[in-house]
Amino acid sequence: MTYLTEPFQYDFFSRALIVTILIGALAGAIGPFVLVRRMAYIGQGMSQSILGGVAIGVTWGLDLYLGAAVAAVLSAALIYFVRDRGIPVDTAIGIVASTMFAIGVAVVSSSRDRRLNSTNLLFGNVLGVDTGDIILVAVVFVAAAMIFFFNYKALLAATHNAAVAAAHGVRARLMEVVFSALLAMVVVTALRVLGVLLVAATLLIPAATATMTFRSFNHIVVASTILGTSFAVIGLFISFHRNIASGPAIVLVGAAVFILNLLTTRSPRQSRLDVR
Amino acid sequence: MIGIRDLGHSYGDTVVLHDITTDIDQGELVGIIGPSGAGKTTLLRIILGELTPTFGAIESTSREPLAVGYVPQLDAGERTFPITVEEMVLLGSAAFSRRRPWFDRSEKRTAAAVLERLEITAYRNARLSELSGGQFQRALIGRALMSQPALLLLDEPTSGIDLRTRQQVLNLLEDLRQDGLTVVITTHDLNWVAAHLPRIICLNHTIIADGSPSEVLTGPVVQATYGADMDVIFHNGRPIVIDAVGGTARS
Repeated sequence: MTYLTEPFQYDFFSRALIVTILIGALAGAIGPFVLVRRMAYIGQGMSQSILGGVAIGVTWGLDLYLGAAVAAVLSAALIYFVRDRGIPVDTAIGIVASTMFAIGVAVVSSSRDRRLNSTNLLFGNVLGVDTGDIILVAVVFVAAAMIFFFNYKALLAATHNAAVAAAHGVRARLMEVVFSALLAMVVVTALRVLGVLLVAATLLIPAATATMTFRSFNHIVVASTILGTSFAVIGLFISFHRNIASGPAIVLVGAAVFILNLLTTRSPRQSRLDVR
Repeated sequence: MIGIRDLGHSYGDTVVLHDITTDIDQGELVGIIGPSGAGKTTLLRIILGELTPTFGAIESTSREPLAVGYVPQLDAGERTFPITVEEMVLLGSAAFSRRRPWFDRSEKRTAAAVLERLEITAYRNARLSELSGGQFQRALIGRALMSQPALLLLDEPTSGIDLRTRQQVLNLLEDLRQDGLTVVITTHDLNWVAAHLPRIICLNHTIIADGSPSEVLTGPVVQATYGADMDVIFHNGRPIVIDAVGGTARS
């Protein structure tokens, strides 16, 4: 019991828990869309890219999240720009993300600003979560949840087959923008707790675990949201007690459950004969 | 239903379609045939409203915007998507549904009726990857029917499925036509359309011929459409296209 109550003696833990729950739920909810769009790399690319924005933003005296948000939008625009010039999308992501990440590392390594701590930026640090972070993450969470709720069916139709969805009246191109916006919201708000290197894992691991277990996409989204939240909470407690960075702790909890599920669950695809 | 008037389309300097003029009436079942690159899919995309033609226009006799159902070519990526048959079919009505994550009971009842009609009710909770080719094709048609279309467009519905499934798909389309739905199919499968469709449009950047199979499928028309020597023989009064002995491809 002490294991669960002891962390709450510290104010930072309660603040971090609120932020972690919101991010875990959000990443879990949109994770299945990232997975089926085969856009794991763009999540990874966008999250790496924001290091450049954060470093430059902080150096110029701007807010951490403002720099991250600008970099997330810029990286998505650059990736699509390079892709539309005929470069394969994984190559485009690799070039844009690595370049912006390199800019970030270059600025961080030459800076003496204490806010630009490379370990915290790369892997997350719950100690840094303040009331301002909670307000910002809560506002973004509510906005993202509303966008997700009201566009869910159109988003799913456009994700499954954009041409068919458009033929049947869905604004498929708008849904591309909506999806990119949701992804950027997760990546930017997860910066403090997860760090730029581990956001993609929190998008993918809950979704992949749920996909192995459920047939229905709707059930996968619900399960992934619950798993994302659970991994985040459990990971945060382990992070506190084991004194390890929050990002790796959350990812390792998810990875352990994923591996366990992989070894013990018969996937829906394997059970083909069950429906005959 | 729809009138296609002096329609043309170019991608840059490449003219894909020119001088396309024809009418498609309500309740017709029409096959558009032609070689790869003939402009079949471009014409389909223009009818869908996805592309704006460079020249000409498509006129509709209806005052309301024409509701179109679209069945794409079988796509492996679409089939491995982790979604059930019922969920995918319901997505056909996503644009008209209330803006919340779940579908109403009335929408689920409509989907159930569509699945029943397509004889895939038993697979409603199956994943798409668990379906046979024919069942998957039916599910795609089911999704298109959920938008309650007046016009159903199918892109290569016979490619990649076996003979028995082709027959089942055709029977289904004929049933839908008898209910008043207009059905337009693109295909490479000359003998299948000759055997089963009442009207064929031969397309190779422009309309080479338009009419019943026995009117359209002649040696010169097939050669002009496909640019290859082919013979047309008749069996029980039905044209059958075969490769000409020693035939050559023509540019």
